[in-house]
Amino acid sequence: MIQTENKLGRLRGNTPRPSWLAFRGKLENAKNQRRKEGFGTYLFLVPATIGVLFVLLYPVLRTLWLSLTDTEGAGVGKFIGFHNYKTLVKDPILLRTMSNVAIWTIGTMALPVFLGLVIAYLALGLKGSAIYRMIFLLPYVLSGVAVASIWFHIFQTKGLVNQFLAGIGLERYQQSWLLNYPQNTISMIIAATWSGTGLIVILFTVGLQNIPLQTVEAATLDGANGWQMFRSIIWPQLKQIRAVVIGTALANSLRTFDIVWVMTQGGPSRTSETLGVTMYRESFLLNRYGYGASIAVLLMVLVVSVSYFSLRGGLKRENSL
Amino acid sequence: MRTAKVGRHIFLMVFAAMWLAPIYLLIINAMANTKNYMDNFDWAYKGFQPLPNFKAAWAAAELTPGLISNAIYGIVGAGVSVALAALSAYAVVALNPKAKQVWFWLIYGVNLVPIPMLLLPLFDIFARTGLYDTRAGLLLVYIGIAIPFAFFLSRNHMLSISREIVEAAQIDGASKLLVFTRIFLPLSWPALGAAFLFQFTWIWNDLLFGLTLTVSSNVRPLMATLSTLVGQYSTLKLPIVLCVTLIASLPTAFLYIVGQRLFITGLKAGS
Repeated sequence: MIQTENKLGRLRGNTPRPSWLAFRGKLENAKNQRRKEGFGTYLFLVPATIGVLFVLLYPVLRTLWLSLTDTEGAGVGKFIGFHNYKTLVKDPILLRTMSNVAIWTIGTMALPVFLGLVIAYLALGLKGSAIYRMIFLLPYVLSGVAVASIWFHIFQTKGLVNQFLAGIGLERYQQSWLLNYPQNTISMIIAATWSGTGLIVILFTVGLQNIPLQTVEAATLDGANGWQMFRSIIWPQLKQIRAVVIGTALANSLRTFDIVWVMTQGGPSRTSETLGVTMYRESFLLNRYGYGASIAVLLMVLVVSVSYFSLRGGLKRENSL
Repeated sequence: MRTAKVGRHIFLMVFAAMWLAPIYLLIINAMANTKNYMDNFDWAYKGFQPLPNFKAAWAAAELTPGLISNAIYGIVGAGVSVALAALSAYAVVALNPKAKQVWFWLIYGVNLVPIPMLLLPLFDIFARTGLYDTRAGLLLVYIGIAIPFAFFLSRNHMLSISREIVEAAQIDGASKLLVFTRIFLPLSWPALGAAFLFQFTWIWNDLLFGLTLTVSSNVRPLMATLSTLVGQYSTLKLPIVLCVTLIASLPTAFLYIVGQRLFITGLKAGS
């Protein structure tokens, strides 16, 4: 704040202090100027808008259009209505992909979301809690490719998990984690958990810190034990942040591409594909652009609805407060 | 109470150790002696020879052009997008444009769109205009993709700047640009810094655009190159692949450790 005033002081220093009348005149001038210079305002908005139009808006509209055509390779094919979407519903590969999406959704709720809440709750107010949070967030800044590069060697057939099982005498549980369905998807969910839990810890920590201390103190006075405290005081007050966390986590897991692409390329025999991988393969390896576009649209619809419901959940809470 | 705290510490330490273990594995195996190495991940110490591995990694992944490309994409891409986003956020917050809400949603509304939605048309434009497999082309995409979130962060921050200061400056005849550079910019550094850090990391870690829009090694971003070195079909020794992984991850890890506070600001605002 002090800094602002200094800056402003400097700004003001350039012009003589106006008398009351001059001040009114200036006010009028400023208003007129604002009207005249309205055009100038748009100079601030146009560059960013052009960037967004070129890279985001136009491609989105064009993909919507492509999904209604039979485009294969260069150029635009002919309009075929919703044919691609009808194919999509019957495509056995897409069914497998959707079953993987379901596993990813359940896995994301069971692992990063659950773990993130437990870690955030237990670390709250502890000495060194910032260090814990920093450790959990560290993998988040690594790329999906780097995460996959590490975890590929943990789960591959000669990898660490199997070595570990042999080491503790459980050879019979050894298996090719990345070569069997659905172990391959589950293995990759574990890799994604490692990279994604930190974000959720941070978000839940924010939510927990926003809980009014009086409610906790009142419950302590009433003799609530740890679990009762969590169940009746903490949990209900996390409603809003829970919507945000679940929405973010599910949207991220729907978007998963990098980890799968590097660890299994969606294989073997396309058993571990996510929507992103199926879209990429259909489009850029099989050149079925129109069909690929319809998969992209399906992915977008899912991501937007998950985000919308989480946002609405969050807003509802805010209104009722 | 005391025992409960000890229990919490033990639980958290166990999990923290689990979270650090893969990083330990990455480092120890990236430095391991490549002779006698069985190409399995190993807990145990297998020799320490960072320099030869770094050299081999550098050559195998063509890291000189790769790192230069990534630095350009990351620094210029995030820098330009944050600058454009700040200008437009300022206009939306302080200049009262007509149809304010429309501008806001025009710039921010596409933030949620998954990348596969963009790939086919961009690939098509790139193929037709000669932007395919050029640094300039990829840079344009990174700038565009980074704008919405940077805009959102700066706008939220700028909303907290007092209207009175702005109006006082306007009355004193300060131009729009002057109000931006003298008031909004200096007051928004934390938000802009967070946006830069965040978008730099995003661009640095991108795989899909690099995979789709580039092919030659001096244009391809690092992660696209690395993705072809990992996996069943890799011909490289494991320590070399891990060494590439480590080098490619160091810049963002370093930025995260240095700018952790800014980074977390970005995370919180983004969700």
